[in-house]
Amino acid sequence: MACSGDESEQTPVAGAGAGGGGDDLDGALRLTARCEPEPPRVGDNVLHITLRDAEDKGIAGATVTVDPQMPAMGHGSSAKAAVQDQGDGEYLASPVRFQMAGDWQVTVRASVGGKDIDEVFAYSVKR
Amino acid sequence: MTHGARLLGGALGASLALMASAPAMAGGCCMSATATGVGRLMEWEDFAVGLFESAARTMGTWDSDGEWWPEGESSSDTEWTTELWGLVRVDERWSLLGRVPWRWTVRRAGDLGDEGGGLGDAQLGARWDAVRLGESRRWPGIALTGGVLAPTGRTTEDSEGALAADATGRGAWVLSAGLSVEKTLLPWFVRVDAGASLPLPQERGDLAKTQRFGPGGTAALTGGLEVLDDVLVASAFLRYAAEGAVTLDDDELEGSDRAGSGLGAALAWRASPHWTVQSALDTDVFIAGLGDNQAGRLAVTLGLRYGHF
Repeated sequence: MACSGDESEQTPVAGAGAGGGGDDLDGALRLTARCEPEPPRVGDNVLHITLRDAEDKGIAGATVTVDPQMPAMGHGSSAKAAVQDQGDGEYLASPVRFQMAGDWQVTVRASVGGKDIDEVFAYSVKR
Repeated sequence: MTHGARLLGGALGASLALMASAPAMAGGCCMSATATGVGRLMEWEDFAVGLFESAARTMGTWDSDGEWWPEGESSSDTEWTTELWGLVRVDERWSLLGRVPWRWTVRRAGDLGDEGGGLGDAQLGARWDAVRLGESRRWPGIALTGGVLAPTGRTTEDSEGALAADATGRGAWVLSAGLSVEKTLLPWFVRVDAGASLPLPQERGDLAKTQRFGPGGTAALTGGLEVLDDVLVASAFLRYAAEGAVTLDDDELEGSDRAGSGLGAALAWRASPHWTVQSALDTDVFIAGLGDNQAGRLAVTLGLRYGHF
């Protein structure tokens, strides 16, 4: 389930609906993420998030949240990531903190125009 | 452990600890009781108390595919544990166990550093000797154990540290049961332990969901030798532990099951009829495929035990 680390852009392993609330735009919207560094390391990382519509047009002004979880350990991150809207559908989340090595899942949620989407990205965090 | 590396966490640790409540035994009654871990009461003891000091260093991590990733230069994780424990006899077959750990973790990740700790998850247990060692020529010693691990430690969710070094528990009540079978062939002994643990559901405030760690299973094989009669016991052990997948609101989280195997050696020196000095080296086996989804650690422990009679 862990990402290989060779991909520059991470494909979600699950998504749509986990966050509830609002219409589900999955299929109409595309949410992708790229971790920096890649593969992610223990400590602070940056997540580059892209939100685009079906015509590949960037969507700015969305409310985006990032929630890293370590499923096997049953806990989340020790830091809350702040998300900045960079414009043209580009968002930057930092710090995405992985306090220990292992498999993590990062849920990215985006809400815009009363509608929302969420995707889960899996990362194998190295030391 | 990383607190996760608390050897499959507190849950399985509790189960293993209970299983280990029947220590290696060279004499049918004596030295093996204190050979490894908390052990058990000697036949003539009314109660025993002890203190363990241990240091565990994370050496790397197994991912969910079982691949082993050694510790990098930019990170480190060391956990110091002080544990007070006590055993008290109820009657000739029943005894009770209590353990209270205090943990302190020093963690570094890139430019970040953090240290912290506090009270860990406390444990209460009971042991029933169905067949006491030496009671039967035909049967080995057979004991059943049961216990509960209380979430007295601090969870990551409640942590305030930059790297959650002050997290000392997993936040779940855990029930456990075990079976211990021990055979003595002086001056040698061998013991087989098996156990199971059942974590109870817990509320995850940050997710507004009910989380439940998977059920666990443990197995251990211990062998030892009374090197000096009634004075010095050397023992070695192999262990294996596994834990099922975590569930959130009854949805199983893919890839969240865990496993680990390890080995170790211990020395117990009975300095006087009442006092025993213990030492142990315990390590996971840092090879791909021999662990899953957890940190691998190397731990050193020193202990002092007082037995009252």
